Amino acid sequence: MLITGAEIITECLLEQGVDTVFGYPGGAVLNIYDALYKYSDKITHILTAHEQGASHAADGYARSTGKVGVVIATSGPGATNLVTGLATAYMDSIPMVAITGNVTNDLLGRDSFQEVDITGITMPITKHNFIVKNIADLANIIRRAFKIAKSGRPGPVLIDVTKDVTGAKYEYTPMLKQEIPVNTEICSDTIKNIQEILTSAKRPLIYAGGGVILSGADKELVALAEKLDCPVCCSLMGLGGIPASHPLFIGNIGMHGGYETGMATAESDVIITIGARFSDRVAGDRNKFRDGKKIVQFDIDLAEINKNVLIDESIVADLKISIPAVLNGLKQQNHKEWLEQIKQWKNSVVINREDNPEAPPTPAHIIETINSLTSKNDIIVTDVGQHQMWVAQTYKFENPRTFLTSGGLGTMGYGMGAAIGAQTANKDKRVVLFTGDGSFHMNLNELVTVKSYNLPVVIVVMNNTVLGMVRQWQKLFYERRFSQTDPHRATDFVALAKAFGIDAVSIDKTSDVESVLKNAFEMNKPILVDCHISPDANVLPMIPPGKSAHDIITEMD
Amino acid sequence: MQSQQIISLIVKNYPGVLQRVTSLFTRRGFNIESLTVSETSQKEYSRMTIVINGDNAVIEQFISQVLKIADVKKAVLLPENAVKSELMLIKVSGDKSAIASVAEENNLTIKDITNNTITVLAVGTHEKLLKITELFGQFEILELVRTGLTALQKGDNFLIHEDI
Ligand SMILES: Cc1ncc(C[n+]2csc(CCOP(=O)(O)OP(=O)(O)O)c2C)c(N)n1
Ligand SMILES: [Mg+2]
Repeated sequence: MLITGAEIITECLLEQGVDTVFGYPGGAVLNIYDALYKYSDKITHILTAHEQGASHAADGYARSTGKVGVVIATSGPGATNLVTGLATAYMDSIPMVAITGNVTNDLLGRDSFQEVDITGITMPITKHNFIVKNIADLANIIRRAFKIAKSGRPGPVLIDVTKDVTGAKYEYTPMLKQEIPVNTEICSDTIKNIQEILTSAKRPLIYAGGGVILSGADKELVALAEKLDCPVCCSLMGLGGIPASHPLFIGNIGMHGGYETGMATAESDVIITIGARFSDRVAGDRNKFRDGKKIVQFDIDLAEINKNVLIDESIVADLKISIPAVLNGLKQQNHKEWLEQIKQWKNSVVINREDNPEAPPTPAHIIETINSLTSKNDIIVTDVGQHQMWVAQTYKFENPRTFLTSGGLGTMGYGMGAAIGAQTANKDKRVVLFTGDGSFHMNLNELVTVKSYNLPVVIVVMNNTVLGMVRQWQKLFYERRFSQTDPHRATDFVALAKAFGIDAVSIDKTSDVESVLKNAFEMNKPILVDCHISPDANVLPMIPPGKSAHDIITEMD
Repeated sequence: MQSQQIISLIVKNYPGVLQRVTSLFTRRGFNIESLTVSETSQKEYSRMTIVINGDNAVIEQFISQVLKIADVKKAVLLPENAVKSELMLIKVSGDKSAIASVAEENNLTIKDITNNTITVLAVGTHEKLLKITELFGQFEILELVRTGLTALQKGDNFLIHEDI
């Protein structure tokens, strides 16, 4: 079939099962948009307000479904606007394909209008990238891009296509989507060694990360934990990998984990790391982290072994294969005393929460109320800051792919786009965005997209009027010199939402929380809830950067 | 233990692949002593020889990171006894006959002679070239350039097989 390069792109997207793309048009992608016009009954294009929003939407689409998210942007500024979205996806290993247009071959390298070297720019923040200068290569590059994006440790892939390639015609031969073979060979000695370490552990702890969710190994994780009778804590990316209600789940690990998880981490004799990578937010002091313990690591990426922390034994494979391999023949363990000890640590810290009806509501009160108004399949999205950590600490995530948050890059402004992507992919589920006043100011332009596509996202602004997380660090480490974190902005979020055509309500005091939220959730349409909370609510407990659980801060003003 | 190691990479031969490899050095802070690239006997592949400083953990991490680049087909730490060689051009001025005799005594090739300068080609291990540089230090060294080390495994071991 002789078709244009742009049509080859749409055909190849269909080969890969893509039915939704996010993007923004422009000169260098006119041909692609013309093809999308022609294919509009097969591929839905969601137009955002800004390419950054589109990139986060493709990411939210991918995180909530496990499918590859697709974003399209024009050359030059369109392409550079994807950079933050690609870096965000790269840091959290999210499968994405970004397609950018570029100027025609004869204009490349001449500082032509809207020309940038986007493959050069995105090389360190993509798993791989391509520039297509020859139409003969186009179809196979697109197929390869999808394969790279989702195979092994997933990640974003960018394809830059020159305008003459999308405009030219070439013979297209359809190809069936190919299954990616998974390596199922695991050395039996490794399995034996790991089983030995696991069964000789007295105080084992499972540290589970985003890999559990990416590989869909949540059931396997639970099975291993139960067989080992082993407490499980999750990194930010791992939340939902084991139901929060599971008796072995003990909470978040790391900087804003609970006192009991901090102590369990410090006092454990074996840490079983599953699809996690010992970031500085988890292993604050990576040289001390392994003191007095053995560490076993399950990961699909060989480069994660010994990267930050030295590992005693590791198994490099898809978790869906490696966990069952280790479980096979493993004897039931029992760690009643150790679990009891963790419970005691938990009970030793009492967090006073005053819910004064006339005072501003506490963050936990708002989050718990929303927890009770949502079901366990609903999707919770956050931006970045204190509100993100409060959600991670308070909301009970029962299922994988229900918590979308920028963990590795910590991208303020991620939430709006991600919520749009998640709601587009999950029409039957409720999507709730928790954002902060600072983060929301970064990408609130996407309210227009929420409205245009009538996406019933509940946008909860945890409005403390400050850049709370940075301000908290200034309280702790800069003697309360609040440099540029208390901006005294005058934005009226309720009026703002209404200007975009979106309903909005506000919460000022504790006694409003239940009734206002209940009404908001019953509306089933886009709605913003402006929650006025105290600028001085802190995220506690906190292990200071570079420190360990013994230095945990549990109180501050 | 901190030491110098030689790593050979087989990569797909196309523009941009060098940038992918080198950007890894800066991004992850690897300490690279030298890097050479050239085509191989098979046109589709290039071979890079990288001399890197670091302990075993660093080398292991480097190899596993570099293997994640989609177009890197192989990354191998060469053994101690690998065949290694480097090429140096050195331009010196001074007593011409004295320079020429140093060149001759060390089996070096004189590539260019003018009124004021002699340019000498030297080939050998890194240590040998350092020694030769030192020898010419008695004259005035005007310019010097080295290619960086290239190396192959000894004997029957080779990196390019059909199975790449
Ligand atoms: C794009 C970006 N810029 C800056 C930061 C640094 N930063 C981290 S949290 C934070 C404050 C966030 O403020 P807000 O969204 O109001 O959330 P809060 O902490 O008040 O809940 C800042 C500035 C960041 N993470 N991302
Ligand atoms: Mg704030």
